[in-house]
Amino acid sequence: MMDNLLTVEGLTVDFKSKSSVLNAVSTIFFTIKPSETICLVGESGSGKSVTSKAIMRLIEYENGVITKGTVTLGNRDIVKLSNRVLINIRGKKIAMIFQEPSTAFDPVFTIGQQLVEMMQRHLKLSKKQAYERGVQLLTRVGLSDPNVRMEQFPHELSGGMLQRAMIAMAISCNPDLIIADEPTTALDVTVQAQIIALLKELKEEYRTSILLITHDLSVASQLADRIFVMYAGEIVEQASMEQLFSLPYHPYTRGLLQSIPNEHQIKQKRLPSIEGTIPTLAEMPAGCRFHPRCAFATEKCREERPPLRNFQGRESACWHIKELIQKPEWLVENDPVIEDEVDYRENQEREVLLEIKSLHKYYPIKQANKKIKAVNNVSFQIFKGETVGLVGESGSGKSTLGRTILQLETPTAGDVLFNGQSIVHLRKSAMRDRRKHMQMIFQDPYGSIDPKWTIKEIIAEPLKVHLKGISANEMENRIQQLLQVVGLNPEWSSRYPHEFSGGQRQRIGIARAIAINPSFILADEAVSALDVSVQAQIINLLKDLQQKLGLTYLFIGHDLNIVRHVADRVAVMYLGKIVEMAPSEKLFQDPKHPYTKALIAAMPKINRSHITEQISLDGEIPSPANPPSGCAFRTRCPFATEHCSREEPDFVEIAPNHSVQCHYALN
Amino acid sequence: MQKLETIKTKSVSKLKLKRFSKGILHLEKMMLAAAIFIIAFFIICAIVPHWVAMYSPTKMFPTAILQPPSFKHLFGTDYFGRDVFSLVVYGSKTSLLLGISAVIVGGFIGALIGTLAGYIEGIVDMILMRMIEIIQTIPSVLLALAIAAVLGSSFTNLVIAISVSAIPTYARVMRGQILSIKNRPYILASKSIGMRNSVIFLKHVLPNAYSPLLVMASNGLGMAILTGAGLSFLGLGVVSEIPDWGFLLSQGRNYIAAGWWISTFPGLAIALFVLAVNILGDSLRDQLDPKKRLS
Repeated sequence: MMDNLLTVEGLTVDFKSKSSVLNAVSTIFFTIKPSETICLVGESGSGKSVTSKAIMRLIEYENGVITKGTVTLGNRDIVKLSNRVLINIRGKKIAMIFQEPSTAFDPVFTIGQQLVEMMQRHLKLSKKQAYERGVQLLTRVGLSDPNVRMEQFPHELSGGMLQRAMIAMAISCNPDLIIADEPTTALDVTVQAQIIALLKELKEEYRTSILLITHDLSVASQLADRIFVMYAGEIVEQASMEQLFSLPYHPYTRGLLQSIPNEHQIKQKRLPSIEGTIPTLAEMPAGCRFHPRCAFATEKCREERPPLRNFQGRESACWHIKELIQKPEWLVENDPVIEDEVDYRENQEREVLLEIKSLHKYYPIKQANKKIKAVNNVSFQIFKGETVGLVGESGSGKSTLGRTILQLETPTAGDVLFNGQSIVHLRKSAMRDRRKHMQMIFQDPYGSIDPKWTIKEIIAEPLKVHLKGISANEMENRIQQLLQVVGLNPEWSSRYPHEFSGGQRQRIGIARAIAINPSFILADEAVSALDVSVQAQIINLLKDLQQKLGLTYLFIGHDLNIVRHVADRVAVMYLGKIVEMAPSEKLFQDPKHPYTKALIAAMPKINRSHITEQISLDGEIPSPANPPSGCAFRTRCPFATEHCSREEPDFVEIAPNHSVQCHYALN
Repeated sequence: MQKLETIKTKSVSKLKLKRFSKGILHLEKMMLAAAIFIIAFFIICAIVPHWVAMYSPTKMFPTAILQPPSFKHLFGTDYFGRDVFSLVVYGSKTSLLLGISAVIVGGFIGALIGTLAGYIEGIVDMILMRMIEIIQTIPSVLLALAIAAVLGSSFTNLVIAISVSAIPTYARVMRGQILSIKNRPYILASKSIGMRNSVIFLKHVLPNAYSPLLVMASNGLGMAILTGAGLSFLGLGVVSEIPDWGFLLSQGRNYIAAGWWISTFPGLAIALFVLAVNILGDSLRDQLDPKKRLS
């Protein structure tokens, strides 16, 4: 017991509001040893962030109350400490790295001021000493020009740079424990890989304990020594990294692991998913909290809450785990790969649905004569019945491209042909008419439906616009039918959006998009805001609908695993241009553009060996207001030459259906 | 097809929660009932004062000048020997009418300006908002005073004076609301299905924008009555033999040492009415928000 750095015993956290008491974390136990990295994994609402904030006692600022339990750091119980003592622990003994680096810094102070302030406070350094140490730290976390960075304000740094600065701040006072709450979630894959590599290095170098909180099992696999899986405010499984990934000991963990599309499942028709959603705090099921979503649940699970029991050095809260792991289907490799489907599409006689011809979208900015070239000369075709994936880092212009194709943004130049007819310079009323055929699914399931409308009204909106003269009865039937198609209970049609979970709202958005039988749907990051298990449900639904209704999708996403699973062809975008486009498997197995190759290498993978991989791509995407000359990617490209900075490469077809924009397309 | 995302289990915590929140809901409903009762009472006072008041407001009791509250004179009598209770009851008509019409006129014009500025943006926004700023630079009571002084004191002019001084706040809030709501994703979602802009504006933007105005209006009612009172005090109020609450309040100030009741009760009437309207306004806002709607 004595050699534990942090011991959490029976921690229980409640949220009190004016009208209710909600239990967010119930009686959890765990320990962290010195220089150990442990990881709390779970979906949103599982209580992992609440746990981390309770350890810092920050939860009290969010109406949370620690009602039971102890949190022992060294030999002191943090739960009982006064605020005066606490402020000496926060930052000094326990430091925190937040999810959203752009909001975690105070915008009115420079990075240097914020670093120096912290070190002066906790290490009693003089201003000059603190400043020098600050520069060293920024150098250590890999920021170029640390002296300049010290004088810069948070808004002058990119997300990845800020996260590095945040890490510098966290390690500045040599804390015993660093709590990293989703440290890479807000970042692009390439930057995520950089930050993970940095954390790994620091972990070796400083021997600090890290409590990593993430929803992403692949991130956990890269860093964690031990993993705790949380579900609905409880720890359901505890195991070492190797144990957990080789054989999960809880049905929930098993479900999470299977929800991540891996190489074997890529071409499968359906992704395995966990049915249902995590229960809300107000509606916790009795017995095992996972039983409503568990395929193996029995009577006992419905009635009695399983305790966390020990199994050879690991723990699991499941009544039947001993029998379950004996079952042959527990770790079954999924159905054989269906490959011929992909080939079939390629050989098909293909009809063009959408043709995008040198499309441009520039935004003026205040600085004179400058323009943000969000979409810069993009041409491609989308065939009937296929799914085109569009990937790239944030800032690459993929969302703008999608919206410009749908004429939700007026293109600066270029043309979009839908079924052979231009839709760019249509009159407003004619365009409104065309919208019947092209619909959109939005990223944010919370913001994209009007909170003041009932589900019925939301789904009826497109029907009213495009099917004039539809009778009330027909309308009612159609809505019921649509709700059924997307897997929602038709009886819920008079409810309001806030009564639904994220996944359910996304289904509402989909019902609305398919209400008037469109032929083309733009899915703009349609699953990015959802939890992994729910993500798989929605992807499956989209694929089912495509088969049933013959839909064509343009699927914008940043999760390459998912795009690889859904898309027939994939376009890679960088700084407003498509740099490579090829059939999905070809692109992923044999990328020709260095950027594509780097993106694929940065894809988060389950890494069981803890070996630091080579960082695939340095730096971050430049500002589209000021793109590099010649090839836009040259500033980050390992193969760039003099030639690349002078001349922009053409977008050429190097193989059938495979086009690349690079002077030295990889062999 | 996927199974539905429901969890059909009885849960213990939900029951407990219900019992707890029931108590709060009960209290809220009680307060709402009290507020409605108070407002109804004042409206009755304004329409049919003789049903409520014991005496005519002009009737003087020369033998009972500056009498403290008693059973005969519930709120006491003033320096002319008039019954303060009757004065308050009769005075409610002018005060209520003044407050309500000023809020409606000011709120409507303010909301309209704010909506135009926020929705059209560009040059329209700039011109309208600069105008609003000019109005805002002058203290509202001073502005009302100036308008009342120029137009002369009649009921309509008083309403104009008070509502003009209230326009800037409504306009600013509404503009902010419109600006933020028109960039919400659900507006783009409606555009993407081919809705006309005018329909989107009426059905999505406006309904989501106006609820803060309700709260502002219920607060503004109190301010309007007080501004009216202030103008009355300066002799720019409605000239009538029946004084309104503001006039009563300001008159009583001179006698505060000899008869605290003369200004206290009109003041309490204002406070009570404003409080009741605020409670009603809050509850109205909650009713309009599906998330907070009481079941």
